[in-house]
Amino acid sequence: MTAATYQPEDGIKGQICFDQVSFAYEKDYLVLDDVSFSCEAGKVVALLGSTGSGKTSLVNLLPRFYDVTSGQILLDGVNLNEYSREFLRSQIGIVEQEPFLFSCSIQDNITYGVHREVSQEEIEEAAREAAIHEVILGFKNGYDTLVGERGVTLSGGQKQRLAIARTLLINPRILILDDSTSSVDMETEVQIRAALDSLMTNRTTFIIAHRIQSIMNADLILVFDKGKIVQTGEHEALLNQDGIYKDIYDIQARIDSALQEEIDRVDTI
Amino acid sequence: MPCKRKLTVSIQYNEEELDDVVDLKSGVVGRLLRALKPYWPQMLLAIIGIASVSYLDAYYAVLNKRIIDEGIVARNLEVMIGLFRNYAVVVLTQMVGFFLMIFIIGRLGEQLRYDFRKKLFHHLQSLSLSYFSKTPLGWIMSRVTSDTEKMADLLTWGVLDTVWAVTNISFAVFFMLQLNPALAVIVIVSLPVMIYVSFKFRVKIYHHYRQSRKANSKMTASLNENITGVRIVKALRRESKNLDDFKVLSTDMYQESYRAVLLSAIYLPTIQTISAISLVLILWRGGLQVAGGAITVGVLQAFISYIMMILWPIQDLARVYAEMQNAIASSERVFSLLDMQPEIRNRENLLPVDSLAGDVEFEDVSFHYEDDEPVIKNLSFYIPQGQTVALVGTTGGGKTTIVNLLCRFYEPSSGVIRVAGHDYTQYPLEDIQSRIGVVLQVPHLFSGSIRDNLRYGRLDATDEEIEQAAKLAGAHEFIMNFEKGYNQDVGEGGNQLSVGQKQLVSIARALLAEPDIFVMDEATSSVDTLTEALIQKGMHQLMSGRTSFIIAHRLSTIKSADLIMVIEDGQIIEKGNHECLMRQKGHYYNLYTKQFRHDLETKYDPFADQETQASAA
Repeated sequence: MTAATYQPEDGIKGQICFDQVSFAYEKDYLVLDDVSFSCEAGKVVALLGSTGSGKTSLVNLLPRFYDVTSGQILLDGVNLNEYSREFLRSQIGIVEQEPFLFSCSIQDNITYGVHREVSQEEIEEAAREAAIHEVILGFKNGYDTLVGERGVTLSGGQKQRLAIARTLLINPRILILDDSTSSVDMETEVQIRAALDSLMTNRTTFIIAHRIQSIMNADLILVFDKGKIVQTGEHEALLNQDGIYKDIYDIQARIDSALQEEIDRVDTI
Repeated sequence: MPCKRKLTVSIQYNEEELDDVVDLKSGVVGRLLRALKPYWPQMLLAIIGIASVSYLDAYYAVLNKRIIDEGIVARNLEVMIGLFRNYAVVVLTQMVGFFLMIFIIGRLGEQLRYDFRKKLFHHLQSLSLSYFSKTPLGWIMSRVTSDTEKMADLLTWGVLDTVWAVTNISFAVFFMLQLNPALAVIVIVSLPVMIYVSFKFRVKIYHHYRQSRKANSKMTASLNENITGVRIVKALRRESKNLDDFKVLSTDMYQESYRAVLLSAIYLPTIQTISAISLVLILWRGGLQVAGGAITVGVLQAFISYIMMILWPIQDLARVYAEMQNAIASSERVFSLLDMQPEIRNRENLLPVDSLAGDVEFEDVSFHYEDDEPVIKNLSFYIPQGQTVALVGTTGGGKTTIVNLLCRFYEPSSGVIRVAGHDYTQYPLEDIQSRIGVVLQVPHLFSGSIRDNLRYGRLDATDEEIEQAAKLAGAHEFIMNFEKGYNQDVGEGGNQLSVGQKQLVSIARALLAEPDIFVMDEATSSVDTLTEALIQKGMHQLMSGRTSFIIAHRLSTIKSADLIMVIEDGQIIEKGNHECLMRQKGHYYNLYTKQFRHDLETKYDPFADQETQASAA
């Protein structure tokens, strides 16, 4: 471990560039193979691909949970390895699919990792923005309600919104989102989407995407297969070339028409 | 939702049990002692045994005194040989006594444990579902396992040690008084001091020892959490803060253990000092008397032995006393569990029924858990006999609660549920629950063979009937594919079978019982196409002719239902058949289209894992 210390005075902007990055957990088995792309600060990058295609490994490199095996990652033009890990992680927010919560109060979970004094108002503001405030007030002890075995059990969607509130307080420049809302109902999904939208504003965002809807507005889409980028570009551009992306889109279209057919059938009875 | 509590045993629940309970409630002690009632002859025998052993312990010193005075000092070999013979008899008698005692008490302990556990298990089975949804599993487990252990230990070894200690001290005092009352007074005066000091120390040591265990469980939990959540700890840069937190917990444990060790270290020397003081007094007073010829060397020797000897029973007594606090607390918790009344009980003037075939009606039914907000609000509906109802709606909306009310796992807080013409609280509970067949989302199977699990449906079913039911349910084929067929072991909780297979077994089990009402919670997870088709077939077998309530997730099930009820916030917000609800373009329409999309997306997902793809194909 080298003592990297780079820590720009006025923070980072969030411009990211992957330059021929390869990565392997074990020798001779590349989970990322020669990955190159770059994205401007504040843009949204969507990562698409099957489980094990390298999406998660890629985002793990950003906070330096792991370091690249070869190639380099540049943040605002400076090699990631130059930044102090501490500083780097303070600039990156992670919202996982089902975030891990600690067995302390909801309040403490929201402020967990917020390394500054925050007022009650600020916490509630963040919770409101993450669409979790009302849920919290619904518990007998409100923000002091314990989470986990000795307290309330939160649903996956609620945990995720709690993590969004936390990330809003941390106010990082770069975001990593695991976008899977399959297990929540429609209303919650709408709420989560709104919360995520406000979180993503003006932040460079990496979305590990599971569904095409959340990708359509991305500035850059990376389609992964076995650690390699097989397709890259914007939604419109990708639609005009043959490949997985177009396939997915076509499937969506097929589903839409099947659904419409179903609805029409009922209407004609 | 309380009824979907995760079944995890938490180490944290042990904490509350470590709270000090010091006041001895005579009621609890009396009730605890009553557990011995059926075993009083054994207990009496053991007490007589231990008293004799203890008498002989004290008698050694007298024997030694005689050997010294009449044998050694008097240089009389004949007497000495005679006394050695006595010695041998005493040793042998004690050995037999020890054997019998340990055997009797050891066996009694097992019997008591067995009794307590059986009683608890039996009582637990009578308790209502609500008890289990609000009581942590870990708490219940500790009552049945470790608490019963402590209770049995107190009643056997605790009683035994106490009797031994008390009689041992008493006999020693008795012999000392006989040998020389003046010297005996010195010992008698020092006794209460030693006992008092011992008790104080033991209780304190025990307290710190338990505090340290409490700190240990907190520390373990914290460590567990930090390792499980390592990714987020790193991402949020909590390393140094968490180290501080951990230090506090670790320091707590260190300090409590340190105090326990320190007190243990001081304890023995303190007792020995008091003992040494009385020893010096005895030597001084006794020595003078020996010199003056008032007493023999043997008497002095006997007194020295007694002083040394009673150190043990005193320490034992103190230890039992300290541990007793804990055992009494255990008993209180066990008794509190045994005193717990099942929330749902049979009423008076029961109306026994053979069949629940008939209409089902909910009239203005509301339900809430304890003082919480109502989860079901003024629900009314009427289902004619034989119809199939699909309950749909978001998680937490109240679908499961409706079904639980129907099965009478809970009873309405207000309103009436009528089954086959009568308020169902007029029926005996057993009659209701034996006439309703339930298939859970993730069916619970018990360890044992497939046949055993099927027979759960009806205990007196023949093997032919079991196979017949399995065939009807579409489970026969996969069962026959197992090496041992129906005798195949399903593993703990049935984990050798897939979710789909478990459902098939569960459906067959329900079919075997030939219920009048059928309740099913469909699986949300995808099952392979073949199994899915079999499940559908089995479900239809069960639904035909029976009033059925399905918490439905499969579009095909929903569409084919006679009635669809959309449940939201404990109320019916939409009701009707598929076509009519679709045309309304309301909640049902949204749910349906979302599920429709989801199903097809899963089916066509090009990124899906091989496994899911295979099952969705």
